[in-house]
Amino acid sequence: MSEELQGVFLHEAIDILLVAVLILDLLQVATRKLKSAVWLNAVQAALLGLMPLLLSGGELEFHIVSMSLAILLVRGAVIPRVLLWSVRLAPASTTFRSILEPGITLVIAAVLIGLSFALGLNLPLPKSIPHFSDLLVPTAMATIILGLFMLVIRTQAMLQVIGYLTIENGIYLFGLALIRETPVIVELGILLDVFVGVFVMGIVLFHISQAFEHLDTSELSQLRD
Amino acid sequence: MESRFWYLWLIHTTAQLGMLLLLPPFFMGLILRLKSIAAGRKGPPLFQPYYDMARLIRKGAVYSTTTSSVFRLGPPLLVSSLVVSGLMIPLGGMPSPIHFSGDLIVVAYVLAISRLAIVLAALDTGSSFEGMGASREITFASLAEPTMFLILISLGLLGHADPNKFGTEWSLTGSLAQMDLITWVHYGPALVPLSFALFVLILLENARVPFDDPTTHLELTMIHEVMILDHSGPDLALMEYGAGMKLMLLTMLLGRILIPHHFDNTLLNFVVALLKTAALCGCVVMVEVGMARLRMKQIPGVLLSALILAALSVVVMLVELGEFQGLPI
Repeated sequence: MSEELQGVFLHEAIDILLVAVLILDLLQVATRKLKSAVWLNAVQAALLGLMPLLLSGGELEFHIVSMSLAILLVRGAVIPRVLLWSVRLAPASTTFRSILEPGITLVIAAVLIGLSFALGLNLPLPKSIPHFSDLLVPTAMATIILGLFMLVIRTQAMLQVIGYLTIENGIYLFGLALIRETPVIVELGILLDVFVGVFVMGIVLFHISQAFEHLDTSELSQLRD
Repeated sequence: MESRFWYLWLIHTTAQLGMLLLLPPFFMGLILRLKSIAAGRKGPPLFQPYYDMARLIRKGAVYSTTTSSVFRLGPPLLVSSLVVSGLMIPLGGMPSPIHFSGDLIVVAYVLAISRLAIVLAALDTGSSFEGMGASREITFASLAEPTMFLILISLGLLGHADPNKFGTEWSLTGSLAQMDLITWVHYGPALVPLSFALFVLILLENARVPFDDPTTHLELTMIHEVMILDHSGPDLALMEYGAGMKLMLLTMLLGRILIPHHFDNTLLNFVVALLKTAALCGCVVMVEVGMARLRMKQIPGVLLSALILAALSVVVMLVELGEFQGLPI
């Protein structure tokens, strides 16, 4: 395969991955099941874990490969298990409600994606990586905004954690534009932060689910003895 | 040179028209057969729909006294409008017999006429039962129409990207003639959501599971079947025939988008197109075997998702083409 064609294929693989990330965002917004929300988020993170390999143009540098592996392992396997473990004792937590109707939620999500495309395409960034894609920054912005949107509209603690993880996916995607400049230790530090954060949240969820038999934060607003 | 062009045009048109007129019952039979096999039964013979149609045509038709000429006009109008749109959609890897700038929009509206024919005929019976089916059909159709147009816009943009061999014609033929496997490499991110949206649309337009169950006759769930309950004999045959033709047209369009092919040999073109259509019928069967039909209430949500996918495809297509630069910051 010629060098040029290989470049085109890499570029398109990245673009298709980014569109998949966008579709996973929409699915996470639309889903009503707890388990599928957790695993959709894990799949999204795993796809993002593959991105550094593609963005670097297939050159297997140690710093990029180790980052990919760490993300695949922690975000794709460990975190979803921790989250599911923390709510397995809560009896009625498999479905949830949000403060908006599902149809309106999807329409707003679509508008937010359109907005992030309108804003994200012109953001001046150092395009230092060889296979920079036009879709990268809009997708990152859409993921961050939709994560925030999920945090706002959902009343269940577990799903707010997932909204937080979606935001983190977006921030990570944003950081990929600077992958050459970022030392591996910084990336691993961020990953550790996220992991510890989710671990702490998992323990909190565990205690809430033991004390209240539900995870609905809208009912946790009144203080009582 | 000129005479050779006309000769080719004649061959293509005859072949396309022949395929359009002869094959619809075959694909209906194929779907029935595949579904039976998936359910562990042997199923009817592949050509059963042909026998059924022959039987229905030999029968006489019964007309209720409340019906008018609109009812009798319905089935012929359905089939003729489908044939006209079939002449504008390029089937089997070659230019369609009729193509002109803007035929994308004409195709969408001629397909809408076919729906109008069924709905008016159903309303003309004066039965509240059929009126209910017509109302459901139009409700879901109006939700699906924006999706159809966004898909066509996305395809039109693709065809307009580089001057193609039909000039800069905004037509389905121009767009699809432009496509080859390399197009998937360049515009894949836009074509993936587009194909999903079109597949959802195919399931809806042809009243398949999860939107409607073609085998049910339970009044609470029917959409398409309920509208043709009062048709009998040759009219019913035309209705079934039209349904098969619509299924074939749309699956062939999707097959052309998914795996674009152009061969010089007309026969080879058609054989490949038929294989792709059969494979897509297999996909429809897989959906039908794998899931139950949705509750009426949930259908708008699914159609909305398809709409969003189609919109995503248009946005990504614009970005890939470099037409959309974003807002100035």
